[in-house]
Amino acid sequence: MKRTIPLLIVMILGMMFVVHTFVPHKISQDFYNWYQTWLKVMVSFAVILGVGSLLMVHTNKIKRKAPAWGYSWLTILALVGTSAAGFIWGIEDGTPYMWIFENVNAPLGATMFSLLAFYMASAAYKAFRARSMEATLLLIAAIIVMLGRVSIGNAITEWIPDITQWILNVPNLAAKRAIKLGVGLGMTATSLKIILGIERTYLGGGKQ
Amino acid sequence: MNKLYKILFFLVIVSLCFNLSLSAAPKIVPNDEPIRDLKISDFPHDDGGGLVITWEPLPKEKRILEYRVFRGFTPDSLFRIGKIPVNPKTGVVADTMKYTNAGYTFFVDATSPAKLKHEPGQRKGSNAEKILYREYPRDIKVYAPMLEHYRILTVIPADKYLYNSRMKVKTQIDTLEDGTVDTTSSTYAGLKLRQFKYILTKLKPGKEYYYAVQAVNKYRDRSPLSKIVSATPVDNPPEKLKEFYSVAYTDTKEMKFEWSLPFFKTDQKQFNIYLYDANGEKHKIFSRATAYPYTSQSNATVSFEEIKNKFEPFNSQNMQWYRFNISLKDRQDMETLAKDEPIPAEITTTEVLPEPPEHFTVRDNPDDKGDKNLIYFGKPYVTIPKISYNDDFTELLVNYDIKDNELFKVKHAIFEVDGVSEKEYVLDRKVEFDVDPDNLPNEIKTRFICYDHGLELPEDYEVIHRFSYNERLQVVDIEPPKGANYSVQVLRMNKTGGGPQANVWRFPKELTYVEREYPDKVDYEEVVYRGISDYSIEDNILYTSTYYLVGTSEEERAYYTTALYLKQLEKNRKELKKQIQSLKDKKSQAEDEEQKTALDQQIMELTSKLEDVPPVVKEANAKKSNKARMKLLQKKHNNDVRSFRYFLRKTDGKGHFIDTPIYTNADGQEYFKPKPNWFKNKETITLIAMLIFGVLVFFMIRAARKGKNLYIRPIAGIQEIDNAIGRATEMGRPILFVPGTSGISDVATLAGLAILGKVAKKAAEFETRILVPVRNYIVLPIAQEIVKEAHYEAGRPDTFDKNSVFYITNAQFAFVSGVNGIMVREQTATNFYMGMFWAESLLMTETGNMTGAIQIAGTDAITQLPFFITTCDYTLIGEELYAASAYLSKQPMILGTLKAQDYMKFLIVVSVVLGTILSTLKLTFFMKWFPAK
Repeated sequence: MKRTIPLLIVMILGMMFVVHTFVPHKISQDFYNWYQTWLKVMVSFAVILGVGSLLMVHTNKIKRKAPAWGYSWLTILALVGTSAAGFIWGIEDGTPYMWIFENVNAPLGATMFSLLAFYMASAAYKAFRARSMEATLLLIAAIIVMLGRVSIGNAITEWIPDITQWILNVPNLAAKRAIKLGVGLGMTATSLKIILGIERTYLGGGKQ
Repeated sequence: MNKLYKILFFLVIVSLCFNLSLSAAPKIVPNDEPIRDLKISDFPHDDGGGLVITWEPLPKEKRILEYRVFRGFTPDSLFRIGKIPVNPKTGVVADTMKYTNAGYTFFVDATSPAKLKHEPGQRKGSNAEKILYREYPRDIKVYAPMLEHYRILTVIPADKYLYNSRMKVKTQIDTLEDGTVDTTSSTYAGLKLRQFKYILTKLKPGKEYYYAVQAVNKYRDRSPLSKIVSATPVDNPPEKLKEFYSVAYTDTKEMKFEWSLPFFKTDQKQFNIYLYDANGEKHKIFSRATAYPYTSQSNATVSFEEIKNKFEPFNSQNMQWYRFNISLKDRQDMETLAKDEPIPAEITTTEVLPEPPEHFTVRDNPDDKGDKNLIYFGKPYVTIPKISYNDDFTELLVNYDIKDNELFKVKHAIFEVDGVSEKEYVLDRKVEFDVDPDNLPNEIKTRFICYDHGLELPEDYEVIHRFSYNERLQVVDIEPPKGANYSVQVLRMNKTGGGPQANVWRFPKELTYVEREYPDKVDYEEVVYRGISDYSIEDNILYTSTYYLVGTSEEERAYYTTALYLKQLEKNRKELKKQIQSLKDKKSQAEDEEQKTALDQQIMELTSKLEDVPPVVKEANAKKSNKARMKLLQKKHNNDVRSFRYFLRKTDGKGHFIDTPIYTNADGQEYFKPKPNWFKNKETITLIAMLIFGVLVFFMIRAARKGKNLYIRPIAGIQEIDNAIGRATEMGRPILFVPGTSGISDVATLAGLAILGKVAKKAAEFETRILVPVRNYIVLPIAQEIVKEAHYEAGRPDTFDKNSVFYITNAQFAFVSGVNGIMVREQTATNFYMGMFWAESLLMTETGNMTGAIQIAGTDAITQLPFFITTCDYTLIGEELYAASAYLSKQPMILGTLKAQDYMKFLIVVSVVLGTILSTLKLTFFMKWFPAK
């Protein structure tokens, strides 16, 4: 029963959504809107699970005096402090909550994001080392595309932006579409497996 | 010591950042002055339901974030009714700010705050102390007494009002001056606030309202409250219509009038057209009710005969003597003329008019939920938005857009420039021509080849566009084609004749000269609008009136008003019968013949009211339950209000217009009601593909079950999973598994979780710790359950640690820093990234690379694949992610689907190759089976 009921729910709702894709009737649209409303309600309750897990992990760390347990205090304080700021003063512009977001969260996020440029350079170096025929081709294509994206490329020769566009529009797009095609089929197959109850891992465990 | 240095260093950095941010912050100018020059003026041309509040904005140095507007019907209780947000960096450039409190605005609904709360930050001793409140709360004790101070309109979902409202009879007993007791009872529909969609309010004309404004700066400091100013809204005459044209057509003996519609639409009753005779005397020759809340017609045709009926001395021979004017009248019968001086008519014949739109057709719009009628007309057309040359003027690039409809569905287009034709097999919206730079072309002709299922297009039909190269601007100027000044108005009327003000055509859309098709929206009536008649604080119920308007489609009676409840109906009938009996008794005692005749008349009227009921209402009244009765009435009502007849009017907006007849189809059907469709025809190919795939899956699973050996291409990334887990076991370090950063609705996350199950089981067998950080809190319990079950299956429930699957945060880069921290601190030996990823992918895998972990990634995110391939040891590309769980489980059912997937892919590749070959051979039929969108 523990698995049958969730399986039935998934199968029935899954089939209903498949039908919804093909049926534009008002009944189908109303059902979908009704489901969306319920989804919003259910999703908001799931926040409790996330916050609960975060608190449990970090209180355990503090209890066990795990390495760097002091940071767990910092995490809990940040969680409680930010939530309290939001609950007490609201989340509109100019409130302490927004101050924390603008002056702590946003700059920290931007810092992490800016690291991406350096990591990208490092990854590019690894990818473009001309150790084989394929890597050499990749290197040449990359140089052309990079030059074609900046004005110096056009200054060298007006062919470079054209070749760049061709690389992006033809071989690159063809490969992308091929991957997308496979992904689409993979998604359909996975969805079908879930709807038909063949794939049940999401219920917990691998019992088929 | 080392630890102490680290802490000190951290503190120094934090304080430095804080100081820097403080010093970089602009100076704060205290928000200690109220806004000035608060004025209230009456909203023009309205029904007395609007006021305009203006004030002088505060300087930008004050960093104002928003101006809050408060309103009340007494100066000692003001409620926040709205705000104007401002960019605190730039401030307001204008000299004055304006807030318009007009029309019906939101008052309260079930999501309003539960309790009445004061606005925070009101300084003690200031003029704002204890008088400012936040929004109106949903507390009936607070908002209900306020209802009488405003005009109220409630919006109620139809099903709540018709089927779930409670009938309430209220009896009022009054003792009259002569001592007799007068009893009046009224029936109401009772509803709780949560049953309303929302309640709206509008100002009452002649009532005084108080307003104040408060500015809130970036730091949420509130300025002192402005001076409290009061004003009384006044009902104004309607606005002047900006344009008015009158044209007399001598051959058809009629006049056509055209005018512009008013900007303020809420308070309008009718348009009146006046003729001024030679003596300047005014005679009303035409009158039409407006279609509010729908758009009214902006033109009218009046025959000479009709004019003569209204103004007998009218003589069309003396047309040059007459002058014309139009007025707009509001519901209080205030009238405004459009022109200060009446205008003469343009005297002409219908020869100046264009041909009306041809092939006008109406039918149900396919593939919808039953809320659109499809209207189409005319032969196909091509618009040319841009023509350009290359640098040396040897090539001409023409961008085009085909406008067609169901009757003439364009298959191919043939473009001709300087005698050179280009046939467009694929209508890709651009066509190129080689041209002579010394003799640039100036004309492009377009012909069309249509599909056979529609009408036959005349062979000589072509569209011509003329153009020339503008040397000064270096662009190609395209001349507007003939007839571009004419637009097509779609006019419609439902079975009730356009509403209670019957016989009014609504004007839903004006189409430009290029359009050939229009899906006309016919909404379902899902809400009803009612006022509030009474309320009960004890029962927490609001009472609205109980009438129900049902469309009857009868010529003389478009709508019939009936009671909402059966009990109410019965009560009304009894009362009517009682009144009739009482009149009959009076009549039998009456001696005067005149009195008897008057009583007879009254009896007849009441009897007619009792018995003259439309058949559908009679049928509904025979039902046993309220619900069954209302369902039947609603069905009839919806049919009448959603069935429309149509005609088209081609007009230049200046009185030169021509109409098509009202459309009637081959079966004589005049009214068209959209039908809800059960299948999206556009999705046929998707359904076929899905069925083929389903069949393939079925046969492959059956083959796999029978023990047929299904060959599956080996994928290195999957084969290495066991080795990667073994490595972690040997090194005695944990495994990190990130199941993507998307939600559970993403199929990639589900595929990632399926792999997690297999990896966790293997890890449990090897007694290796597995860490699963999660970004989405819905994924968390599922991942926890999967890992737990995996440990149980491996026979090691004791090794399962619930805290090894944990939530970090929903913030993208905060999650990355959390995961990176785990990699560095825990020195994970093996990292798995399986699911959907965005920009965070490279940040995580590069860190993993630096810590020396073996990394296996799998994603369907095309943009992230290059990063994974570069930085991970093995990558599952796209579909391989979905195949992984099948590979790992080796179960026939799952392997069967995988094999079916391969066959389906083969079919798609065959289709792509076939489509390419056929399209290259200019055979586009196969390509068109697969819609692009």
